[in-house]
Amino acid sequence: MNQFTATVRECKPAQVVDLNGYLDAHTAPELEQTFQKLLDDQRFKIIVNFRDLAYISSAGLGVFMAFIEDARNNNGDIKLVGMSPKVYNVFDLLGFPMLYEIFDDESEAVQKFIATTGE
Amino acid sequence: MQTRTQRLDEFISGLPRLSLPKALSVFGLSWGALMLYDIVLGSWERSAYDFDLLRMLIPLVGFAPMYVRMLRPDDIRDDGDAYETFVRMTTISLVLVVVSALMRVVPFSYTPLGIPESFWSFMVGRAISLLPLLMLPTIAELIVRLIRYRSRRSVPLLARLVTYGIGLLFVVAQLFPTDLRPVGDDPTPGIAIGSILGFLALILTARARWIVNLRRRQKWALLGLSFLGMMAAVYFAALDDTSEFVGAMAATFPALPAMASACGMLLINIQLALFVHAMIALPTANAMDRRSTEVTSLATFGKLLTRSFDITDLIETSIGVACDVTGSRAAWIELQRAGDAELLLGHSPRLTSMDAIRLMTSTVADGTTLAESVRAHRDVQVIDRAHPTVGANEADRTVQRRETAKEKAARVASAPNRTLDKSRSEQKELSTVAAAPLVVGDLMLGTLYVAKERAQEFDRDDLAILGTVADQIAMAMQHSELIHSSIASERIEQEMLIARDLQQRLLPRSMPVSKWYDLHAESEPAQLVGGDYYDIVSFSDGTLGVVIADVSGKGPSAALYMGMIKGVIQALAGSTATPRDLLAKINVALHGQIDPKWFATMTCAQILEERRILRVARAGHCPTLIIRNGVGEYRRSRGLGLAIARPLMFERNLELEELNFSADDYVVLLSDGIPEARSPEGEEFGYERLMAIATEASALNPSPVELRNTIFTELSAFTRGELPIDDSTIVLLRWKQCSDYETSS
Repeated sequence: MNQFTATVRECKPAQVVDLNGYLDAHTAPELEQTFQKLLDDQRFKIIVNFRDLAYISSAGLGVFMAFIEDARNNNGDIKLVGMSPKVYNVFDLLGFPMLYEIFDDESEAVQKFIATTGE
Repeated sequence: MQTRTQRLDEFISGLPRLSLPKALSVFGLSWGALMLYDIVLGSWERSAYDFDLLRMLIPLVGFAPMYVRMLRPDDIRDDGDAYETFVRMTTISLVLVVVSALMRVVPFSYTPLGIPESFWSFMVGRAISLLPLLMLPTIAELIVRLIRYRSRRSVPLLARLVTYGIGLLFVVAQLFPTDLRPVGDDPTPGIAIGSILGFLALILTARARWIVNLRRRQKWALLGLSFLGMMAAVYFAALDDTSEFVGAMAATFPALPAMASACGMLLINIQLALFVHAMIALPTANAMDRRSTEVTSLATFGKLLTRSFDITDLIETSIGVACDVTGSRAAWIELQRAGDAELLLGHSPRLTSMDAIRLMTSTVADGTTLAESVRAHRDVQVIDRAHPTVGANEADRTVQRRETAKEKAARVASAPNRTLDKSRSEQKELSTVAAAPLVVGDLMLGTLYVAKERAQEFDRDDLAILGTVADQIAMAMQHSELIHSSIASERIEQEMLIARDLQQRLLPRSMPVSKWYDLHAESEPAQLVGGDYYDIVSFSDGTLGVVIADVSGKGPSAALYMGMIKGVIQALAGSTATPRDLLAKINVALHGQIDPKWFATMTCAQILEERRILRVARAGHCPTLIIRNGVGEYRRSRGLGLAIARPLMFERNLELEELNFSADDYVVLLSDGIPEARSPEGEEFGYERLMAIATEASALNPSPVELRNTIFTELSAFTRGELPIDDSTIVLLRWKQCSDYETSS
């Protein structure tokens, strides 16, 4: 059983979700719960940090797709940062860079949020 | 050669046996007939002992059916039935006594010789004697039944003697009333015969095994009733033959008083024997009851274990059984699951969770709490006088109480009574508590607690049986979980097999044959996943194309989506010109149709065979390997996965690539199962390694199948038996030399 955690911290104006471990079909529900809670709390500006993520499967990718609409419909977004080349490749194969904003550094994503909402 | 007894038995069983109401009716009818006879013939004024033969025979005939019933009595089925029979017998005799006592109030008079002094007396007398007339034979039959029950083999003889004795007495008393009537203070013949019979009855009742197995309540009742029964019996036996009552009875049927005396003597002995037995059985009655409850509880529990796999049922019954077998007022279970503790009080909690926690955190001899002690010693622990520890609050927090909706409803429902019982509950505080671990092998599943009131205690047997019950509960819980998970995994396996089968059916049966190229394709599903798919399509201009796809999801759902995709592809391809158009149409068909988390990847390659051109569009799928002139590379045209983006977005980002080939070039379409296959050390096979192997092998110009074999041989060597986690799908195309048909244009 692979380990996975998703911890949330604040980085105004966004919430940062730090991923750790293996994101696959078994652990995807954990991330889903995290996203759901954020949306329920009206936190629509989300940054996902992949720095400590070792592996992602298609089930893991699916989670993002489920929540992106809601976030964007509420003037928010899910931005992805800190991917290792391997993880980036998985996203890139599917063409995610064309749908999501992917940055190397968290600060870039934060800046983007500030810039777009002028907060 | 039949013995005399056997012949007698046969004769008796041959006799017609009427039901009790019918037999009594016959007897009653004879009474009525006699009364009519007396009135019509005017013989009602004569003495009871002065009658003619006919008058004596009528009652005998009437008595016959009842006597046959006595000869062939119903057998008592079990101990409970024996008790019922006893109660009935005693009650009837008591009723008879009460009635006859009341009759003294009614004004009527008979002379000592049984002559009514008026017509009114005659009528009253006859009416009164109907009751003993019907009740005495009934009692006699019950007596016979009772003394036959559970007696030894030799005893039927004695029972027979008693029965014959009663019958004989009746006949003789009826036919020779004058010789049997009481004279002075001499005991009546009824008493004499009755004494003999009574003695026999005493022998027979001496065993009375059935008393031992009665409940305590019943034993007490038996003690009381048999005492009263003895008094009633004495009354019968000592019937004053100068009383009006006896006179009236004699006037009806001369044998009646004799029968009453005989029954009385029998009953005295029987009731005495039963009384003594009850007295002896009472001191151990409690223990007997306990044993009986324990056995029944355990038996029921055992049955439930084999039948029910529902954990809630199990907990419910366990709590009930634990209370019953240890004589406790309350029981509860603490379950330990993955670091979490759960308190289960059952649907009708016999104590509050606060009380439960208080008892669980009470200290044992060495200073630890009861809960800790059980966990440490893995054995039954007991506290005789529980009181809460200083650290009780902390303990509360570690034990999370998860109240189900049912329990909450039960709690709320019982709340109104709580205030009423408060003062009482304070007095009857639970403070004697025992705990047994629920252990299966090395695994401790939780703890079973039982609690009694302050004044009570747990004896050695209680604790022993608590341990037994706890073991059974633990085993049942384990069993239940195993069953559930095996059912679950079996179901999953079944679903996977179905999915695998479906998946295989969706794949093309054969590869197209062409002079321009050779094609080989195969798909090997992994154990749990069923998402890969490949197909051959026909475009609008008749050119063929190869499609390879990877559907997200597992098992039956993946197979379902594959089926859907295949349908869409095959339906649309014929009216589509290029792979790019086809993928765009597929995306339109799929986007927003399934849940937002779902997507698929696909590569579609159109084969323009004469020009040796491949038109490729890639929707998020892993890159295509091509080997041209012995040089390998991966082609990764731009494209989003299917069903991820809206049609416009998807099409805007979808590239159509045109690749030119020469003879002996190779094209390899794959799914990510091959590059992502792992070695036992966890290393991935990788795209680079695959390309290197394929490129090297291509130098020998292998057929697609041969190339496939080389790749898979290397793959097997790399994974060294490690099971694949993803499906492996591969489509290999080799462009052929076409010397005969080389186009000139």
